[in-house]
Amino acid sequence: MGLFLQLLTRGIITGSLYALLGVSWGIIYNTTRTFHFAHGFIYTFASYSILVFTWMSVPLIPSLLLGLFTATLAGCAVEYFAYLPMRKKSASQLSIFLTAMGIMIAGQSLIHLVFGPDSRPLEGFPEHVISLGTVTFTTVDLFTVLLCWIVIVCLFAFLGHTKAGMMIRAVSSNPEKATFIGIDSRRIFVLVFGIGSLLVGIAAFLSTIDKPATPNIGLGALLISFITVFLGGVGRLGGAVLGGIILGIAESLVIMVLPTEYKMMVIFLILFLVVLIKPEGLLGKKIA
Amino acid sequence: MKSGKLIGLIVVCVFMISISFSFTADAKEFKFGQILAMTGSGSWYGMTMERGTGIAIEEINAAGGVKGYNFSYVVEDHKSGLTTPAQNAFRKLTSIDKVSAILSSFSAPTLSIMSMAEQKKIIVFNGGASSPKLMNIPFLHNTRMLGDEILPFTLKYLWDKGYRTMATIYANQTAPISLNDAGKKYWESLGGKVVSEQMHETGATDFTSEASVIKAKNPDIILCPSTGLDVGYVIKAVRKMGIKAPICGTEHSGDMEKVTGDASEGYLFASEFFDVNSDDPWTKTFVAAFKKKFNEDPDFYAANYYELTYILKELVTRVVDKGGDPYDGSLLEKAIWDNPKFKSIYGGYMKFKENGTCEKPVVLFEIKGGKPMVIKKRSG
Amino acid sequence: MEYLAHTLNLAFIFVILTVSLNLILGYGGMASMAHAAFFCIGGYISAIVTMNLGCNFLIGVLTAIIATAAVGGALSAPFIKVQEEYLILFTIAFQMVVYHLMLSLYNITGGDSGIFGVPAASLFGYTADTPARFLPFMAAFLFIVYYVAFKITKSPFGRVLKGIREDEKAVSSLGKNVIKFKVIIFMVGTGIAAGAGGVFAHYTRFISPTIGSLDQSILIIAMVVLGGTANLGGSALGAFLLIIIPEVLNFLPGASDLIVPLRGFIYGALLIFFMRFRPEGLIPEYFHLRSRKRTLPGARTGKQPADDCLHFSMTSEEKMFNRTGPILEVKNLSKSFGGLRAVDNFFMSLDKGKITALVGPNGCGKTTAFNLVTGFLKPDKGQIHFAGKEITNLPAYKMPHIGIARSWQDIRIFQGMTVMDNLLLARQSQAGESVIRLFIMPWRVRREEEENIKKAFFYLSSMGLAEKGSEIARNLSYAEQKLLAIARLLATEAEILLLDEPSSGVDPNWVKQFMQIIRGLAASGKTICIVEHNLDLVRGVSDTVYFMAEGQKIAQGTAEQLMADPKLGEIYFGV
Repeated sequence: MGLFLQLLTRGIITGSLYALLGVSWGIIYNTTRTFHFAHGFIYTFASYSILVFTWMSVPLIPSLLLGLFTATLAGCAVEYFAYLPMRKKSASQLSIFLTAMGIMIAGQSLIHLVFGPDSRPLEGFPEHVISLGTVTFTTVDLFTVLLCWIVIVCLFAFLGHTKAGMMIRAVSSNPEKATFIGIDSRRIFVLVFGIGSLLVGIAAFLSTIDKPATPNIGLGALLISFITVFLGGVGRLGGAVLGGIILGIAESLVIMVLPTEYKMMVIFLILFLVVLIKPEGLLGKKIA
Repeated sequence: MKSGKLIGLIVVCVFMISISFSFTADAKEFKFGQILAMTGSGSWYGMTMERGTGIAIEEINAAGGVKGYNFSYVVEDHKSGLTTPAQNAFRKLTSIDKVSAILSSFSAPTLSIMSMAEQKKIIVFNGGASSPKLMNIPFLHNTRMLGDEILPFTLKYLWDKGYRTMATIYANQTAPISLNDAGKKYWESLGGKVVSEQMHETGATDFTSEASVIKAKNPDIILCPSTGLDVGYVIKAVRKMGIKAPICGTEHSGDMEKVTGDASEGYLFASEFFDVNSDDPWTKTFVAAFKKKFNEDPDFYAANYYELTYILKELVTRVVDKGGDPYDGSLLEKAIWDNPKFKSIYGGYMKFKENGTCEKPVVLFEIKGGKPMVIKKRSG
Repeated sequence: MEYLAHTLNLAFIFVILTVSLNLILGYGGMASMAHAAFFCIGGYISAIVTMNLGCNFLIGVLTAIIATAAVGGALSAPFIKVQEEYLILFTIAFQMVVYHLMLSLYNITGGDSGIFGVPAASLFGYTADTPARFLPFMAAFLFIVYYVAFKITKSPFGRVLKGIREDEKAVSSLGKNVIKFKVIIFMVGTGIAAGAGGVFAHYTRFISPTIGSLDQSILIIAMVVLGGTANLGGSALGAFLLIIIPEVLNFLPGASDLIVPLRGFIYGALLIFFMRFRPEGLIPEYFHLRSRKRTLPGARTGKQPADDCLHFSMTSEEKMFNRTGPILEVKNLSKSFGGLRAVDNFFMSLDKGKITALVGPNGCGKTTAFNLVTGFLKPDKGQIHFAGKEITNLPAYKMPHIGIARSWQDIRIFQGMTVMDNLLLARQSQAGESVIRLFIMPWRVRREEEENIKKAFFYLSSMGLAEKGSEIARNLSYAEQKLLAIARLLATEAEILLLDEPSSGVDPNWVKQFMQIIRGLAASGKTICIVEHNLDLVRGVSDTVYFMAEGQKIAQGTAEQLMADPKLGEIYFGV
C-alpha cells in the first residue's frame, strides 16, 4: 500500500507536467490543425534561453521571464515565417508537417552546434526532501505540481472569460464561421502559437530545474505532448489534461506489474487501444 | 531521362574522387586504423583515446621507427556507437588504407566489424569497451578487464562493512546485464540477499518510480552497473526519494556529476587503475609528455591506447624479426602468442588471456567532495 | 575496390529504402516516421530465421517481407482509418517502441550488442562474402524493387493513389475504398523496407538496433524530399546524394565534433527549403510525362455535345434494372448535428428513368439528405432501400458499385490528373486496382485497361471532350471541368445519378446544354436526382419536385404545382 501511494504520488507529479505539455501542444493543434513538430524545438530553445540568461548572471526569476518571452517569440516566428506562408499556398498537411520536422531537426542541431552535447544543469532552485508518512517527494516536485495546475487553471480561465479566449475557441470550433463574424484567424493563429510556446516554456523550465538540459530533450517532450492530446481527445483541451494525468499515472504504476523497461510499450498500448476503440480520443468529439 | 544522366554523372565524379584518394598510401609506413567515437555523445572518449595513440606514435617515430617502418594511423569515426559507420570505416581502412591492425572502441561497433575482420584476417584491439560479448572472438583482443571480474572487489568491501541486502538497477544493455548477473551471483555466494532487481531503459532520465520500489524493499546497498548518464539519474532519483543506503556501480564521469550534483557523495565504484602518480619510469615519461602537450593528466583511456600502440610496435618487431610482413594480420595475431606478456603502462606487465581479455591493477574509489578518491587497491 | 563496392552496396540499400518510403510518402501521401524501424525489424527477422532454421537467406528475407508487411498493416490500419495526422502519431510511437523493444528483448535481439555472425548470402554455391561479390545480389534486389514500384505506380492502383492525394472524398464517391488503398501501399512500402533490412543483415552479417533509430528514419525522409516525392528516379538521386556526400566528406581532413549536428542542421534545412520553395524536390513528378502524350482512339473525331450523343445505349447491367416504378426509397430518414435536426423524418422515392429535384431554402437539409443517401453521412434513424434491398448503412465507397453515384457542387475533379485518368478512375471493379492481380494476371489488367480507355473515350466524346483526353484537368475551362465531372459520373455506369447543384457558377447557355444532357440521360433509363437552386433548371427538367424546409419534406409535386403555391414561395425566398 505504501508503495502504491508513493507511485501514485509520482504519477501525479509526472502527470501534471504531462498535462501542461499536453495543453501547450493541444491548444495549437486544436485551433490550427497544424502538426506542430517543431514544438520540441521550442521546448529545448526555452530551456537554453533560460540557461543563457542565468549564465549572464541574471537571477533565476528574471531569467525565467526573459527565457519565456524569447520562447514565445520563437513560437510566433515559426508560425509567421514558416507555417503561414505555406498555408497561404494551401500546401498539404503533409508538407507542413515535413517543414515542422525540418525546423525541429535543424533547430535542435543548431543548439547542439552552439552549446555542445554536454548536460547543462539549471541551478539555484532549493531542493529538499519532504516525507509525509510513506510518501516522499521534494520541494521541486511540489513546486512543479502547483505551478502546472495554476497555469492550466489560468489557461482555462483565459479561454473561457476573455475576448481573445472566446475568439480562439470560435476559431478552433469552426474556422469558417469565425471568419464570417469578423475574426482574423491569422492573428488568432499567431496568438495561439505564442500561448502554446509560453506554456511549453514553463514546462521546459520545470523539467530543467530537475534534470539538466541537453540539445535533444525536445523530442521526448514533444512525444508526450501529442500522445497526450490524441489520447485525451482532439478538439477538447480538457482531454489533453486527462490524457496527461492518465499517462503519468500509468507510467508510474506499471512498475508494479511489469519490468520498467516496458514503460514505452505500455504507453503505446494504451494509445493503440484508445485509437482502436474510440478513435476520437477519450473526451474528443466524434470525427465525421 | 535527364535524371538518369545526372545520377550517372554524380556516381562517376564520386568514384573519380575516391580513386584519386586511394593512391596515396606510402609503403615505408606501418599504418594502422582506429575506429573511435570522434563525433556524437561519446566524442570525449574518441578525443582522449586519439591523444594517447598520438603521443605513442610521436615517441616511436622520434626513436627512429620500428625496423625501418615509420608508424602512422588513420582515425575513423563510428559516431559514438553506430554500427553502419563502423562497417564503412572498416571497409575503407582495409581496402584503401590497407591496414592489418585496427584499434576500436565501444562494443556494438567493434562487434559489427568482427565477421569481416576474421574473414580478412585483421587484428582488432579494443581498449575502451568492457563487455562479455567481446570475449572469445577470433582476432579480437581487449586490454580492458571484464567488469564482471572487477565488481566483486567493490561488493566484498561493502560486505566486509556489514551490509547484507542488496537492490540492483541496471540498463538494458549487454554490459550492465552481465554485470548485474555477476554481481548478484557474487553477493549470494557471500551469503547476501538480493531483494530487488530492476532493468531500466538506456537513456531514461526519470527513475523515481524505480527508486520508490527500491525504497519499499529497504536494502542495505544499491548496485547500479549502468553506464554514462544513466547512473547519474539513478543516483539522483534514489537520493531524491530519501534513501540513504550506499550506492555502488562501475562507472564515473564528469558529465555524470552535472546530473547528480551533491547526490553523488559516497558513490563507490572500482575500475582498472591507471595511477598518474606511479613511480614506474615509463608511466612517468608518458604522464609528463601528455601533460606537456595537453596541459592535463592522462586518464586511463588515453593510457590504454598509448599502451596499445606500443603493443603493436612489439608485434611488428616480432613479425619483422622473423622475416614476415607486418601488413599480414594473421602474423600479428600469431606473434601475440609467442609471449602474451607485454610491458604495461600501468606499471610492470600485462598479460593477454585466451578468452580475449587481460589482467590489470584494480582500485576502489569513493566520491568525496565531488571527486573520486582511492580507498582500496588490488594489484593486477 | 572493396570500399567502392561497399559504398555502392550501401547506396543501393538506401535507394531501395527511399523508393519504398516514396511509395508511402510520395504516392500514398502519408508520413511514415518509422521506416528505419521496419528496416531494422526486417533485418532481425531474417537474421533470426536463417540462424535458427539454417535455411537460405532468401527464405529469411521473404519471411521478413511478409511478416513485417502483415504486422505493419494490421497495426497501422486503425490509425490510417481516422485521419492523416494519426498515421504520423502511430509511426513515431511505433518507431520509439520498436527501438526500445529491440534493446530490451536482449534474449532475442542481443540488445545493444545486436546479433553477430548472421550467415552470408549464398545461392547455388555462390557465396557473397565480400562487398564485390554481394553487388550482383544487391543489384538484382534493387531491380526487383524498382520494377515493382514502377509497375504499381503506373497501374490503375497508382492512379487511385494519385486521386487520393488530390481528393479523398471524390475518390470514395467513385467507389474506391480509400482506407484499403492506403493500408495496402503502406504495407507494400514497409514490406520492401523489411526486405532491404534482411538483405542488409546478410550483407554486413551483423544486425543491431542502431540502424533502426529515428535519426535513420529522418534521413530516409530527407532523401525522399530531396529527390522529389512521387518520383522514383528522384528517390535514387536523393539517396545517392545523401549517402555519398558524407562518404566523400570523410576523406577531407578536420572531422570534428561539429559534423553530427552540422549534418542534422543540413537535413533539417533541406526539408524546410524544399517544402517551402520546391516541394516537388529535385525532380518533379510529371518529369517524364511532359513530352509524352497518350494517343487515344479516335482522338481527332471528337464531337460537340449534340442530340445524337444523348441517346445512350443501354448495357446489359443497366437492363437488369429495366423496370418502372420506385427504384430508391427513403423512409423516416433523420440526422441531427448536436441539437440541430438537419434532416427530420424525411421520405423520398426516386422513380426509374425519372428526374427528381430537391429544392428548398438554404440550410433546409437538402445537402444533408444527399449525403445520407450516398453514404457520406450515417443516418440516426430511418431506412434507404435500393431496388428492394436495404442499403441504409452502406459506406460511401460501395454506392457506385451497386449503382448509385453522386457529383459534387464544387466539381471535385482531379485537377492535377489528365482528363482521361479522371474518367479511368471512375471505372468500377478494375483488376489493376489490386496489387496482387497486377502481378499475377498482367494480361487481364492490360485487356481491361484497353476496354476502360475505350469506354472512357465514349463518355468523353459524349460530353464533347474527346480531344482533351491527355490534358491536365486544371487547364480546362470551368464549363469544361463541369462537363468532365458529368463524364466522370457517367463513367461509373451507375443506375442512379445524384447531382449536387450542377448549375452553380455557369452561364445560362451552359444550363441549356446541360438540360439537354440530363433529359437525354433520363430517356436512356438513368434515374436522376438533383439538388438545385436554379428554378429554371428545376422547371425545365424535373418530373417530380420535393420541397424541403427545416429538414422535412413539406410539399411534393410537379414544378408547376409547387411554384403556383404562394406559401412555398414565401418560405423559399424568405419574404
